[in-house]
Amino acid sequence: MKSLIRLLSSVRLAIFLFILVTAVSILGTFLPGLNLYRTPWYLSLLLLFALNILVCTLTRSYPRLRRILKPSWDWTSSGLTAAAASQTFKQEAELEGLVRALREALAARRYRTRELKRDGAVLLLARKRTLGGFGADIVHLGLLVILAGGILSGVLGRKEDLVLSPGRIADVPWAGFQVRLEDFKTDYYPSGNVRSWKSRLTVLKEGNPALTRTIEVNRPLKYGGVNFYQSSYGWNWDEASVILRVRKNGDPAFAREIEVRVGGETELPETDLRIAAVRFVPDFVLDGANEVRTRSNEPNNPAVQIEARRTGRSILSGWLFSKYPEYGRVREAEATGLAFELRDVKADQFSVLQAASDPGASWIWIGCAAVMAGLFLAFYRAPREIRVILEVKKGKVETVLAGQSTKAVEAVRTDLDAVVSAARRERS
Amino acid sequence: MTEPKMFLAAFILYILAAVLYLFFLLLKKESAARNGYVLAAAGAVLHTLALILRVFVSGHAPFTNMYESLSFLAWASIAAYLVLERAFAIRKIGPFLLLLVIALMALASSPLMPKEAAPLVPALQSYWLWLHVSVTLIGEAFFAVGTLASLLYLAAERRERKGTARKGEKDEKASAHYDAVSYRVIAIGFPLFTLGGLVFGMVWAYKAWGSYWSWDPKEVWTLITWFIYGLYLHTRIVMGWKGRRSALIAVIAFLAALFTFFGVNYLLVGLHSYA
Repeated sequence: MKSLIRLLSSVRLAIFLFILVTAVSILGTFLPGLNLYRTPWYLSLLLLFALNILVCTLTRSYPRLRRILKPSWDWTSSGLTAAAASQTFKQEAELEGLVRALREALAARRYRTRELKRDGAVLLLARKRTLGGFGADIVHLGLLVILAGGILSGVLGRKEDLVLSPGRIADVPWAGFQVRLEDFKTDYYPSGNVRSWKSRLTVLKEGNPALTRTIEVNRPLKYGGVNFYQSSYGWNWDEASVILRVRKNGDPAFAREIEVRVGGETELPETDLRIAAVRFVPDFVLDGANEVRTRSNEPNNPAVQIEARRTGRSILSGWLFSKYPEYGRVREAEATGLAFELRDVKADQFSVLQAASDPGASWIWIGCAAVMAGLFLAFYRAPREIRVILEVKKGKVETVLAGQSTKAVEAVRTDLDAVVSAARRERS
Repeated sequence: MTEPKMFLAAFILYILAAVLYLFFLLLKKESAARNGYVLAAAGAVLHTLALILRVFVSGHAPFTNMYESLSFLAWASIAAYLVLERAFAIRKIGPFLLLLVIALMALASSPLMPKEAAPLVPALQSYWLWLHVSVTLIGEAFFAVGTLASLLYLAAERRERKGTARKGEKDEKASAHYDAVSYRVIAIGFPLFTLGGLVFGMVWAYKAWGSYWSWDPKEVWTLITWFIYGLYLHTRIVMGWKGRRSALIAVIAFLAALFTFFGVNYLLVGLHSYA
């Protein structure tokens, strides 16, 4: 057990896990098919890392706290001169006066100083930004909260796509209320690019409207612990109708517009023909095998395959394109003298809303705040410490100072210079 | 002046500044470096105006496509350097930093990068675009300066090891200085990168996509970059690594940051398809 704790609290394990998690994560981005990040393996790795962080933080923060609350005075002037940032000076001055001058100079640099007298010598321990020493611990605890939040999201989070045509109502299965899509519209920039998708939603509680709000991408609706996001949209092409214009060669007076449901047929007035819309694709393309396909679900190149039938027999068929009427081609088994054009397509547009509840999210934000506060403390408010020993030697006061900081050695050096030059002005 | 002209003027000033800094590096003329600093600062002022103008013309944040993002990263790198040069006494990083900035500007100006200010797609219409991208790129600018310090450390350390230290140059001191500067600069960038890349990214993803984390390649690579910088900081702070090993980790971390910035867009498919 003890050796296990020693292993889990070791920085070597942390370094090993840093490298392992990084390597595995890199692998995952190049093998997206594996969906590595959602496997138990990856999660176990993260949990082991979390355990390492937890044990490290617990075993290290207590001694650190002790050091700060009950500092050790167990240092000597020869020890101080060996420090990375150290200064020594001798001067004819009164011991008390020099101590006061040093304390004032330290206070001017915002150090808090404690004093101890030992064997005729005076020891000063000055500290600044003590809280910064706990920065790393706060970061690590924040990371644990984030991981816990992530697990909570994974276990308790609910997510569902609601596909809604205007006027339709959808149940939010776990929330005990419903939403109705009032309308859905797409705004465009003058250039023709999409500016926004807007879904006007009404929340229904036991059938009664509770509130109506328009949601957009980046502007979700939050209601009763459920967030509603504008997630996607589309057209119900399976139930589309096409508007066809039919003209007769040599008869300018003959111009008819008819609406035909895809999969159905409509009578062409004043003739004995029925026109069928056999197949519709929103984004026509021919694939390698010369088969008709749709490139996307957007109406980029709407095309309809029509057929003209007389007493159930096909006498004419071909493809029409609404954006490229000149490419329309029909083959006739019997001459009809008719010309067809695809004028318009009517299809219901639907909006896809994502309903999501994520009880882990608030933990994530708490964890993020802790991580940022900790990083700020650790790197921008790094703790500094200055130790001083003053001793009277042969009528002069010898002052030895040493600065200490893991993250701000340069700054401590500057502080030392300032404190020393202020103190040296003190003469007896 | 229009935005492209200002961009070009800034670009030219950066090139002239780089020439002066190179004079300083090769001929040891301090005055050349001082003048280089002034030209680089003038370039940065024009560059700032170009970015502001871009915002007014396009009506949105100046980092919504590769051209804009590269230009902003170049601006942030120059700005970070101008602030740090005095504070950390790192003049010799100047020529290399300017070469990096010139490379970014040249890449931004290449015909492969569409420059038109396109209207924003719905997913990008959020003030989080400002926060997420700008803070991330400013963090990366500090990483860039820190990485150059690491590279200069490696060069100085190599000269020192081979006993070919230049006359009058105390390389031992130089290498120790670059080693310390690299850490201090990366330590400034790390909280910024964490805030912009990860925290603001998660908040925005939660608002726009309905999920704060989707294991999208750009997200994962941001995390990978963060892990490698985390490794750098832990080996240094806790294990006391310094010098070569430390510098190598810093360089690898920056390569990961660059891959997150460029590589992911061109090599991996994901949600961040617009940036």
